[in-house]
Amino acid sequence: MKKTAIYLGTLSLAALLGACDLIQPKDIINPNVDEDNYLGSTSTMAPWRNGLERDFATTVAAFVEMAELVSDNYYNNYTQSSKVFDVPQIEYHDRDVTNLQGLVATLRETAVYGLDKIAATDPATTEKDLYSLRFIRAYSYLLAGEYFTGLPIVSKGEVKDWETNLNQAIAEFKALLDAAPDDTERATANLLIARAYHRLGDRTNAIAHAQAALSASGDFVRYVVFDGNNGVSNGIQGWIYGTAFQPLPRLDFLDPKYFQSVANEQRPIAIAKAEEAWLILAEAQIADHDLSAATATLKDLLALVERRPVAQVNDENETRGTTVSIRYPNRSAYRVAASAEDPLREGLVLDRGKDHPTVTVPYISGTSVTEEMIDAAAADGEDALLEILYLMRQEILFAEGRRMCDLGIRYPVCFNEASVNPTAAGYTEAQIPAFIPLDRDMDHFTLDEAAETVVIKYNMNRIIVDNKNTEYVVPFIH
Amino acid sequence: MRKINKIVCLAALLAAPCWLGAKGLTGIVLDKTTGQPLIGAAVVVKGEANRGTSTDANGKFTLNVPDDAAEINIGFIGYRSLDLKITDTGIPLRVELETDALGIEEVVVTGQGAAVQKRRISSNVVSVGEEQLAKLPSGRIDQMLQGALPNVQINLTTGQPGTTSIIKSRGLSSAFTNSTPVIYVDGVRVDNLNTKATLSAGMANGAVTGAIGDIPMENIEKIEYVTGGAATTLYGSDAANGVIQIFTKKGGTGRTNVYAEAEIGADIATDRFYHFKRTKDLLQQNGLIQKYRVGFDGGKEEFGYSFAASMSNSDGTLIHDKNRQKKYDINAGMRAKLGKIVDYSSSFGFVSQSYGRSRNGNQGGYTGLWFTEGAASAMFGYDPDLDKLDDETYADMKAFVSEAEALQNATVEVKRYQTAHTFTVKPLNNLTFKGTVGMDYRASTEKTVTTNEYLIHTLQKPEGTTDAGSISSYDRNYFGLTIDLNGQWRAQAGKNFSFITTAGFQYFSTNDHQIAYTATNVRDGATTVAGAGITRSNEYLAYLYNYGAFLQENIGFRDKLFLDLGIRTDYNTAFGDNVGWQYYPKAGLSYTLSDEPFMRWLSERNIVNNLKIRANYGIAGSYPPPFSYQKTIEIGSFLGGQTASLGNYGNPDLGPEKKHSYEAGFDMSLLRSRLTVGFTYYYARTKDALFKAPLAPSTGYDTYLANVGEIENKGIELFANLAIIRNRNWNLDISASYNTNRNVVLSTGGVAPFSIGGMSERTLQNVVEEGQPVGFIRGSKAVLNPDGSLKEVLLLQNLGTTIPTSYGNFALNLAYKNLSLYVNGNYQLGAYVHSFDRQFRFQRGLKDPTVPDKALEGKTQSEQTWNFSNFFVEKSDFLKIRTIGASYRLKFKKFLQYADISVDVHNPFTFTRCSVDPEAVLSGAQSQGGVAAGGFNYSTYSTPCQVIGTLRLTF
Repeated sequence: MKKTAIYLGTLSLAALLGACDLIQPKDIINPNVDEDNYLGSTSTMAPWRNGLERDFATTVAAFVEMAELVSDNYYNNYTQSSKVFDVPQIEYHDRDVTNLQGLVATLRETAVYGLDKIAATDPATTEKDLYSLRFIRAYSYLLAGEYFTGLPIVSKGEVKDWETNLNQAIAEFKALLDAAPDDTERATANLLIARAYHRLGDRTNAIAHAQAALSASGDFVRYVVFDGNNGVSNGIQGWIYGTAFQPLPRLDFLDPKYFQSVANEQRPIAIAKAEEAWLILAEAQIADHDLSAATATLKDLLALVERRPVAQVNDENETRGTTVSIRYPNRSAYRVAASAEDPLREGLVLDRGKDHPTVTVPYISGTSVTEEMIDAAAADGEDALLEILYLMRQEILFAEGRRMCDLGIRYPVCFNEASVNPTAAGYTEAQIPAFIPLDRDMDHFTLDEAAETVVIKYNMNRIIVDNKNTEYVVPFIH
Repeated sequence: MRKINKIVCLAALLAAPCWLGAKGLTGIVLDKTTGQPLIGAAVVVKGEANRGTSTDANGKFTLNVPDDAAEINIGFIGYRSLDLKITDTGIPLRVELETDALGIEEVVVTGQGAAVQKRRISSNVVSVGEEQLAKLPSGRIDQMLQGALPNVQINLTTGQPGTTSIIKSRGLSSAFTNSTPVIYVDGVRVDNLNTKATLSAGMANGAVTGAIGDIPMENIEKIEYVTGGAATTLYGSDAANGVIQIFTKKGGTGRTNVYAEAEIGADIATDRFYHFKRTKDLLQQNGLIQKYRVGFDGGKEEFGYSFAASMSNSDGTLIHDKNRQKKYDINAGMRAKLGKIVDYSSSFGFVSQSYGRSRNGNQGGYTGLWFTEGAASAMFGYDPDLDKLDDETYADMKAFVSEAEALQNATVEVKRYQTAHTFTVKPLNNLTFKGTVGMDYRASTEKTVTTNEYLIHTLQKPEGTTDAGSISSYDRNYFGLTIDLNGQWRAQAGKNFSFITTAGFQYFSTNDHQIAYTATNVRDGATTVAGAGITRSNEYLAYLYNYGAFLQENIGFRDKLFLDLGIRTDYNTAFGDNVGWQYYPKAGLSYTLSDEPFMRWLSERNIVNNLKIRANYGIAGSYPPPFSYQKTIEIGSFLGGQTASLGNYGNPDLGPEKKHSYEAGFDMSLLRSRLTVGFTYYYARTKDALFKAPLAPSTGYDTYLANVGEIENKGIELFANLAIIRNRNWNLDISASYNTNRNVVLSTGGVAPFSIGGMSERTLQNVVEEGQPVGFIRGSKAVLNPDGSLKEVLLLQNLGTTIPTSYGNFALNLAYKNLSLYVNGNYQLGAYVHSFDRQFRFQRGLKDPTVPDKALEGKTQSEQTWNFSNFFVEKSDFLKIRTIGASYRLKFKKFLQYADISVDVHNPFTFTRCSVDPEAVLSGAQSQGGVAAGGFNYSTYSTPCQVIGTLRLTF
């Protein structure tokens, strides 16, 4: 009996201990993929590259959205997105500044992680994978050099000025040239090098790489693409296809560059296209006082722009004419002057609204500039032609986030970086040249409903030219 | 131990047939002052807590007592319990209980591991009994407790059903974890989510659904609340914010009592806080409320049972019944004696709830209040000054709004099942083991169907669109399991010392599984994703286990001085790899000073009837979210392929934040116990506070979670109750509480200030910054010259705290015979609220009297809006009357025992100088379980006024 009791007791205890097993945390396994699991698995590079390309697209979109507000191109007529970049008022504690800096670093660090850790562990890594990672890393330096006063070039590293970042971009893109998988990629890499040299004011190298880009492809367009079905969106598309962001009235005919013709459609954004090579060449020619060559180049450019396709877009909900905070023109009868000193021009505003649901917009490149305008400007001299050039830059590169750089505006290093990185000390103020009108004056205009005219307060292209000798704008001249 | 000879005068004997004999003891229990029978008073054999019964509807009881029983104990919440020696008088007992103004004889459980008299404990346990609960709104637990817990502030942050609230006491002790207390039902931890969830059905920027609104509300017998700190040390890493424990009925009072109840009333829309007179007309209606309830209970000492069920329907105050709510709530409880030493009790609760939602808050596109109060009608081509519109335009707008509201289709459905089972084993008179096992299962589905018709109507898509409709659905399944084992040993050492040793083990697990499934490219008519052109899904799974053990020793000296010592240790699977078992000690002292001879002259003269002083120190914790410590790779999808990218930064040192709490105070009753006063000074310092701290962006990461902060809260808690009139016919008492709080972030551990709510730096945010209160409102401040011109604009300024510097409740109860009148409410002072709606109106060009034109410097209001944010931050001081009610009881002699008729008005009055409802702030937590600082009024509906008539028949 005693033995039986002992056996029963032992059995019960064992059963009890077995029951404890049911509530032990053995099965606590992160339902998400942790770093060790991922690196220990196979085929890790392909998803990594795909993820980086997605991040690249959304980063480009974020830069475009913010840069368009900072510039005179768009005004935020809504309560979401940045409330102050239109001013432009850019402080180092702004969340948007932090986000943009973070996006640059995320691209770089993700690419570095892929090149250092994933490529080393995944034998299925291809040359295309490596090219993509290196391309995006190079692009991150280009973003840093074009948009910021300075940024670290490594994680938690010393802040380097924008020139260093651009030179880093140049070096990395150059290293890719031989590995470019096709003509478009080769043209793109060359153009991005040319863009960096242009910003650095290095005319010779800029010309060389712009020509190399056009040699590779005379009409290339390199996009980043989105995936509406998976929630990867072109962030600015919703703002400009809706009523939130309103274009400067003289750019009305170019809007909306991104739109939806079917549900979930997310239009791609061009990060490089042949037009820019022509623009760089033309600017170099003007800087060389060769106006006839510049005229010819710009006409070649016009020919390319005219070959670009247009889209019929249903834009009937665009309420330009009816919003209360700022009333925008919405009929083609409106004539627009770039400033009080400029003539009123027709054809810059499209008919919109319920009565004119469909508008025709160029979705790669468009311009209001004509051969006659180019000839007339050339006849007026360098400055006039330069102003036409910058108008074309503004129109052709519209909604691609480039205008902010042409205006000489740069973001500072953000507060979260500066608070832990003493080398950021000299970089925590945005670069906004003194000639940039503040208080949202770049977006200001006077609309006369009765006369159907719009007079924009400042012709920023003229202001750019007037300040061409400053360090901020027209890099080939100053 | 009280002696029978001291209280025999209270047990007057009635001349009636006797019959205490071997098996039965009968009697009646009455209120000594009013002579009213006490219903539900517990009558137990002394030393055998589980051998007992409770008084019936007439205050009568019958108890079988064992032959060897010597004493019985009679107790009732709010009254001093009595011990009576059992003598074979052979006649029924007439027991009159004296009110226990301090409640120091009351037995409480929460925070103690097992049942302990309040006099022995050093912290304040608030109990809310059945009688008080009956006077409170019965829709949801937080609303019910809004005016009932003197030291807790509960704000319903929107009037839409099922939404989150902000519950806090003693300020905010965390800048990461939500301040909602842990909630237990019959010893089982239940889902207390009071923020948005990780996934959503597109409602995350507006009124979001929490789990508080569907906690079972039927059959509640008592609610206990303890403040986080030393009082919750025994809950370890789980209860820095306090504990609410709900006890349901397990048995009735002798014979079977059956009741049926019908409520009918109305939700009344109010324009109290609308800027435009027409807003209410455009968006709101008065809605019908119906609620029907049936139940029964009964039992004797061997067995008890209780059942309650209700169903309710309310139309809500939004047009087209967009907030219609239906609820079914069932609860059953029982207790049984399973032999000589084993007792068993259980409860089962089930809730089914469904309601509709209307777009609000920052949901974008079109939302009714943003359109009207936020002046966004300008975006739709209207003059935003609604009250100035001519009749024709207004009619057009009304038709537009009506259609925009009608076309919305957002619904929430919840099914919730909760059960608790408790075994009590008492092998010896002074040794009790208790085991509780139970679970809470909550399944909710939210769905938003956005039709093409809606998008076209609200100008978001062009005419003819057929493929832009979308369906956003989200299921959340929560399962929580609790196993609690404890033992309590009571011992006496001589005449002077008594010991209560409690030791226990607690285990709980939570499993939170969320699935979002969305469809786009949807044609109108489809309400499931099945017919969609494109479908997408997302999944979130978070689960954790928590193990804890505790040991507590309560040492009494002459039943008046008590030393309370305890330690809890636990381990949670949410801790980082480098973090092991955590320890939470506590120590407290309780001293019933009025029992000392030198105080007797005061009590004999009825100057000070009771005085207890208390002090304690203890630590309570909050564990981090599951898996936050792990460095992860984020997997997704892009262009048909898998994506991988940098995920969570991880932190192997991630542990619980620990609230070190000190408090000291006293409870006293004075003037024949007519006046009771409770006072507590508290000081709490949260160490290793969890901060979602920003990382240097150059790392490629945004934030990481770390124990780097330190937060301080200190203040006082004062409560007073005064019985102005107390006699057999009349009773009038008033009570009020006054609490203060000073909250400051002592250290951010070197990390930069960061946001925990609100919008962007350039608009307004809740921010955590060293030297400032948690979640203060930060924004731009325009400073004016004396002549009204603009002097300067200062960015990132502290525009005010959202945490009140003082707050409290008040109540008045007046009874004349069977008629009762009652009023309760609460107030707050010293906090601030920002009105986005006001600022949006300013942005859209409507004048605001506070901003002089001169200050605009010739620019438009639209351009200057965000420079003037300080002009749109207001003091949120308020006093709100929560309930005004009257009830009358008709008594009957046969079949029907009595009928209760009552009329209650909830939320009838608000007194505030604030232009917006200072409570209607959405909760604003940025993440699931995140801290909610509130402070922003953004197109949010206020809780409506309700008028409810109730008839309850008890058979």
